Amino acid sequence: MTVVLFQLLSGFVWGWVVALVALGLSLVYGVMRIINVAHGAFYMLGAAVGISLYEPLRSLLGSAPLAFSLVLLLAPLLVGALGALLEVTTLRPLVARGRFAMTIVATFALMLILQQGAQLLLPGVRSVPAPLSGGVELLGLRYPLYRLALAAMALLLLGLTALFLYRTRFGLWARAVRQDRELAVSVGIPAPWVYSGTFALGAGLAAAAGWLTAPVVRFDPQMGMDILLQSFLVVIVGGLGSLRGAVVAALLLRVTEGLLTVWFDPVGARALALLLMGALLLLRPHGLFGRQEAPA
Amino acid sequence: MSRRGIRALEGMLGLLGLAALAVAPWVLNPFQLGFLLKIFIWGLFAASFDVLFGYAGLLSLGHSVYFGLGAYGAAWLTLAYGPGAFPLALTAGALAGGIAAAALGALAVRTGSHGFIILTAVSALIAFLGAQSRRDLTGGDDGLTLPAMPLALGGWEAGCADPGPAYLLALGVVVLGFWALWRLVRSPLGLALRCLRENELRAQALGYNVYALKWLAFTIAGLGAALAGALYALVNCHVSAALFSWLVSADVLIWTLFGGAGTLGGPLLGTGTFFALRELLSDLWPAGYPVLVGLALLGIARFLPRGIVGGLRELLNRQQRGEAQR
Repeated sequence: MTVVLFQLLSGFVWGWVVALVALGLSLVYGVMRIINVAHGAFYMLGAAVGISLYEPLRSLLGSAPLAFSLVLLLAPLLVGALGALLEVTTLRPLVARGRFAMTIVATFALMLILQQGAQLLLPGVRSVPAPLSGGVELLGLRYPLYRLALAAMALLLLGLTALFLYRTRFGLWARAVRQDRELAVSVGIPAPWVYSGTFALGAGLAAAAGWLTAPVVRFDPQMGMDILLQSFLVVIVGGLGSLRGAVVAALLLRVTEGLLTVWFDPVGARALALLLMGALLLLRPHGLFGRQEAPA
Repeated sequence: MSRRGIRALEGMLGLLGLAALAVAPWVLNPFQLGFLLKIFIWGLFAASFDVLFGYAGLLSLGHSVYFGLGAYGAAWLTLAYGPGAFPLALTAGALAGGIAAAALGALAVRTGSHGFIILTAVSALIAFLGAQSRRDLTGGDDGLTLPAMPLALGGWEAGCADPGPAYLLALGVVVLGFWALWRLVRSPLGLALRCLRENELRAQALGYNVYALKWLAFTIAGLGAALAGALYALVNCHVSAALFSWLVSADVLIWTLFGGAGTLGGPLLGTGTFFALRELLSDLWPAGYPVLVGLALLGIARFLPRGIVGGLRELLNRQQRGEAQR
């Protein structure tokens, strides 16, 4: 019983992390019509930048939670700025020419460069201790406190992003470009800058998720690959462009996987959960909350 | 040069190349021969991908699934019936991949162009995780080792380190595979696929069943990939779960784009270039290979979207038009 509860909780926690990563992916896809293969690399970079900043900051400030929070602010900002820079230099010329397949190739190239760059600059696996120790008693199960905080932080960031999209001018612009690019341009919205901003926002969200999970997982330059593909599946099962759908699908995927882990080995459980989610597409080819794709 | 002249030149070059390849075993050492063989096999894989991506315009990030299935199909049959059953193993491997492609294709082509990309990418992840999880069947990352094919030609025996006569067999199969794909893209079906790529709505208006066309392209591409995979297993004597990895799927996209999508010969050229590049860099700067590949890709995406062959053809066409105006 406690095993089932533990797996359910873990699935729930990871579901929010996947949702956070998928939100960035979905935003970039919705606004720019780009399938960003480099998204997982930004997730990894969040952890990498965070790990590099954390130790010096902790000895400077003398407080682990404070340093951790500061890094949570800094890592997404840095990675987001890098994302904007990469968007302007590599993706913008391709988007302007409408070369959809080439944007995928370019983001794939960015992924290769970022992953290998992290491998070269950060040799050797490093990890960080969780800023919160201790656990919580839940129905006879002791669950690590930090993991619950992780889910809460992911939820908070999701909420803040939603607020940002619905309460700021930039959010309004982004939603306008997403709905109808040409109309948005014709009323004076600077679409190229909306693209860069959205790309930076997506990268920043992925980086935040990467840093939040750094105390829970082992750092590895390839760590973004797994979560990238899960986010892909979640975005499409939730319905392309539907933020709500992505969150629901992420929770569904990870809780299912957690439950399956009770009976199967972890790798098999993951494959089976992905397969079941894929099968959902048989029932609803356009996703849980998706609408039929308009003919391009 | 007229267009017919260019065609004839390309044909002559092809025949000359083929003749050179047929006598290669008597000139090259076993390592070089094995290297060449690898390029052919992966080149056939890339050409099958090109039918799907270059001609039908469907970007799949899960093409490795069918290569892997072909390889494992052939491997399992060889382990069950011995290395003498290699014709059977080759056929069964190709069919296994083809059937799987037919099944997944039926689902994938209905999800829209962007959904298709993601679904195929996820299928590669599922296949990879599944292969790693069922170590009893696949050997996981360690993989399965196969006995060499019992081929001999005048005292010259096929082995795993030295392909020997297996080189000629594989060359024959690859040439046949290329020939079949070439006939396909020149056929009315190939034209219909190109129509689909250029304008799906118009293809639909013309009365084509776009789902059936896409499904057919997906199945044929899967069959070709599986044939290459089966050949790989038999020649290489070793298969592992890594064949399913979606990085393999990404590799094939890179080779195809670099050589030129929609040209069939371009992907082979791209495969050869990247294999040579990897061989070269693994001596000079092994850690830098992915970085340089990434930079090369960014360059292709920006400046050479039609790849080498496509770019050359464009250049020739422009020259032709220039001559016509004069």
